[in-house]
Amino acid sequence: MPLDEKAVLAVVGLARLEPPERPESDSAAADPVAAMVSEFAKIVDYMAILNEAETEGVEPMYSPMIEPQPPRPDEPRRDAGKADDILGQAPERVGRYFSVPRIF
Amino acid sequence: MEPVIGLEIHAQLKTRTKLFCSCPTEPGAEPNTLICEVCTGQPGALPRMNGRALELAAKAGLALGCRVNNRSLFSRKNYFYPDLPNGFQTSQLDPPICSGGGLDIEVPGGVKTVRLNRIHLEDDAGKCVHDERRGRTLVDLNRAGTPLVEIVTEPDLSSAGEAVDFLKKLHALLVFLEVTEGRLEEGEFRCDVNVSLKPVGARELGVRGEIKNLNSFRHVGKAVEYEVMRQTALYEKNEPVLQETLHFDPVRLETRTLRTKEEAHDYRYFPQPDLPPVWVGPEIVEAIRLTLPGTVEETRDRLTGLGLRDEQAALLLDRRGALEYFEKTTALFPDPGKAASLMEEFLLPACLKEDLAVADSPLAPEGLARLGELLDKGVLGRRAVQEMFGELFASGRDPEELAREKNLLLVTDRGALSAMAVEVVAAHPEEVAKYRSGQEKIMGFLVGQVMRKSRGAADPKGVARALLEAVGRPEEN
Amino acid sequence: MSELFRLTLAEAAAGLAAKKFTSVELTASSLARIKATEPRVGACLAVLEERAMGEAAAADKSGPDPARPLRGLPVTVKDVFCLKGAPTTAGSRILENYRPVFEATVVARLREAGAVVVAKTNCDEFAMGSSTEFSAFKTTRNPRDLSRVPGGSSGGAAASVVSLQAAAALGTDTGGSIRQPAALCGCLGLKPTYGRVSRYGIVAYGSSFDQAGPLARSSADLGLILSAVAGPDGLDSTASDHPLDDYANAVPADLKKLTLGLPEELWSADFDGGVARRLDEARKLLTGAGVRLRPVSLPNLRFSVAVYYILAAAEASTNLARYDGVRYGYRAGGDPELLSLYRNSRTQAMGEEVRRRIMLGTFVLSSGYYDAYFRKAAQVRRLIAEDYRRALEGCDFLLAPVSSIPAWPFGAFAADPLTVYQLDMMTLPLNIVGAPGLALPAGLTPGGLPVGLQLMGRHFDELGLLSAAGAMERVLPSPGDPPALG
Repeated sequence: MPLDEKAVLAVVGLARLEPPERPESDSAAADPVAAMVSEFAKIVDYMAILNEAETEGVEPMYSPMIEPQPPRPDEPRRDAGKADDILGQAPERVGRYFSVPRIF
Repeated sequence: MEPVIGLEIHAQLKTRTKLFCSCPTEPGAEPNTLICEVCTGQPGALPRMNGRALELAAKAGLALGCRVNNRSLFSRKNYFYPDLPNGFQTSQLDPPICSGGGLDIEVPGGVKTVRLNRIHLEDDAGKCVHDERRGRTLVDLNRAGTPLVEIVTEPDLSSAGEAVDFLKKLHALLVFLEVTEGRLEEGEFRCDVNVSLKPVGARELGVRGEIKNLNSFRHVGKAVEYEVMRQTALYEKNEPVLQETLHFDPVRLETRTLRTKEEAHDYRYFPQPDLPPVWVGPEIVEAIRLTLPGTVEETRDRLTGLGLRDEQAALLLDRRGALEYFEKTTALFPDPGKAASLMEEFLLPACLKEDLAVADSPLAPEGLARLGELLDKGVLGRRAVQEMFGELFASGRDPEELAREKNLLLVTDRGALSAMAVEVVAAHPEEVAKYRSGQEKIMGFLVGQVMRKSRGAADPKGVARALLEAVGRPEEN
Repeated sequence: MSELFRLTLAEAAAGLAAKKFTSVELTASSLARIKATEPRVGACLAVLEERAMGEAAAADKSGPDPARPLRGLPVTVKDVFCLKGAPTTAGSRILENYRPVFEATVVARLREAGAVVVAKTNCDEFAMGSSTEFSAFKTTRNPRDLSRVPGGSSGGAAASVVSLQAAAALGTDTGGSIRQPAALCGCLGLKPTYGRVSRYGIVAYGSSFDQAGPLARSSADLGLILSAVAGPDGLDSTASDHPLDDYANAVPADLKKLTLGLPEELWSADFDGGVARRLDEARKLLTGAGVRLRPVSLPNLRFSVAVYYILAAAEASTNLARYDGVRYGYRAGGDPELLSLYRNSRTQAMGEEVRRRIMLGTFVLSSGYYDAYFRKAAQVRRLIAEDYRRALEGCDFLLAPVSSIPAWPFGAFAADPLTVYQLDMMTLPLNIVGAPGLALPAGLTPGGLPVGLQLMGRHFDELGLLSAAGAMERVLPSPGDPPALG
């Protein structure tokens, strides 16, 4: 079953993105949301090719690199200049805080 | 109906650095000073595992009877929030560092084992502060990346009282093991509580409410009581209990809906590709097992076996850092009874008075051990200790040096004492004669005379010895 | 002396050592070449003239140092590498004004070896693309035909090398992003084994696929760069401590002793006619030189596009969650409430292709779809890895084309993302299995467009790849210098 608009818009929301704006006119052909939905559904549809692969009992491979590495020693390092540089990139700050619109 | 309760406890690990970077973990620093590219999610930054955090998580697991998994894996738990710099938390899904285990609590008529499901490692988020005046939310990332263990129980608890007993016991154990500092007020030990109801004796569990983020034992008790009451009322009215995430209001002592099941996050867990599997081999597990100090009960027995009174042992076990201070002191001054007395009488009250953690005492264990030695040698009297301890504690100075400066050292020099004794004997022939005739009590008077002569600075034991020599033993007469 | 920019890295190093010229002269020549070619090629997002000249002067002053084999040599780096004090945008509006607070390990190593970074090169936004058309900032043109794309995502890197702006460039390869632009522009490119080179400080796309590597005009130059940047890194747990080889001194292999496997599934693709003819000739030239070619099979190869796009998009969807307008980068105006701030900032400042992949990745990880897509793709990934291992049994390397078509005109596939994804089929398998690969030119189509071949090796056998390429580049036709660009 191809993905419908509701399902695709749920993905858009989960990804914290905005769907394209729907124009005022109700001409369905020019609806950018419908275009996005059908294009996305087509890509997802293509991925179903994997159903043809026989994977019974196959251990998933999440990365080519699975050698455990020695952990890091618990020794603190502080870099005040770097902290200031990071803070200096903030689009909005209050004192030494990053600032965003109020949340509840 | 009977309550079914499970807990998810978050304890901040006692490490010096964050879980995936070398930034220090210290409470109370200026906002956004303990940050780097890793814990603020800068482009291109990658995590690097803290070995100490692994050890502490395994240690907690071993003490709780868990199986330590040699190979465990980190996953990304994805959600957006301003205090979560990467847009995901790095946590463990499967396999976690520890599986299984349990902790016994006392219940009326016996002991109940509360089974653990798992212990896993994860990093903490930063902190949001709400600035009402500006209408902004302010974000401090100093805490972002701090290592936590999450301890998940099976739903084995059946009352608010049991939940609180379990938490208190777990807290005491983790603090004792030095896995966590466990400061509740700092949020270093907090928990989520799952509550559901089921018909008595039934196997099937009811729909549960999850109360988030409680950081006081009292609140846990109150929250469970309220939630059990609320759900009971729903059952009685034949209304369904909804699967919800709840918030506990500590002022009104009630739970409120935070999210319904439909609003629940879709965390999209998947294996964290930036971290290869974590390996804690059998030989490492055994090495960690050897560092376990034994249970609280075993340690209490060990302390009383050393000659400490029950109250002293309890004091050392309850006060954070006290046991460690005691161990360090007795390593230098091997008289456990006296060391414990000094801590009970002087050090611990001083820490309390100054609102200091025992570990932060300006007077180091070396200083207290030295004090014990001076008392033992008779160079310092108990009264002098009382007089100087406040200053000694605050300055952390060498006790002998301070006592000398304050003229509190006792005269212990044999020659000086015996010269004074000879003078006193010569000046009081009548009393000496009485003493020699058998009136031993008169010795007290003679000692007093010598003490007076020394202006109180003579070691009383030494004075008595010198006088005995000067007058000769009565029966020898 | 006037055209120092024409020298390869090895030639320039020899010239510097022999004091035939200075690094200041060499670097100035490179910068002048950039100035002359950029209006047409558009390879660079930032030209670091002042600091490059300063570093060149310092290199001249310090004199020869065996520990700094790249002393005074100009190179370019793709704009996904964090370089302290220079902009690092990854081709995205969302990082337009971003200044890294730390340096990528590979860039730090290049610079410690003495290299002078003269420019940061253009790329598809967040390295997601095959033509560099998805850069938010500028169009990079193929130096051999300015009406065509340079390939991607390291299109700026390949264009900078082929237009002689620098002898070597550092790029990244997540699904072919080094090898494909190298092939389409006509230079060499090496994708090392996953874990051979640190990823610290590289703006992440697909974390279990991303790998940095060099592009250059000779295999010797690839080796020089690789030997400077390879090796474990205390800051990247996925960088391997597997022993290193002397990549800078790879000896050309004896072609008569070389057996190459030809994956049937790749050689039977639907090739552009000009490309097919070149590939046939190349095989004949190699056979003529004594190379044994034998067919091998990668039966699960047909799943590679799906496997790659599911897994890399999944990783990308969460790697790019950090671009939220809170701590750095673009923030949408109008001070909306937080949820809209996220959604507007991310939508306004990230391009359509990036958003498409974020959506795909979010979808395949979401509740109810994880097993059918993400986990299934990870299982098929293992099948492909096993195919690959088996195919190499009895061969030294695999040999395959890089692209079924030559560089295409701008906008040719604008309306069809899925078709472009499928064009990556030849390069994806290496990233899926994490193995190393090396693309090298095999001459030009009748229309004058480069055609590339790629060697694929066993994990950590970069030295073998460099040796084989060192012998093959003497046999295969060189694409030569591009037409006048200045």
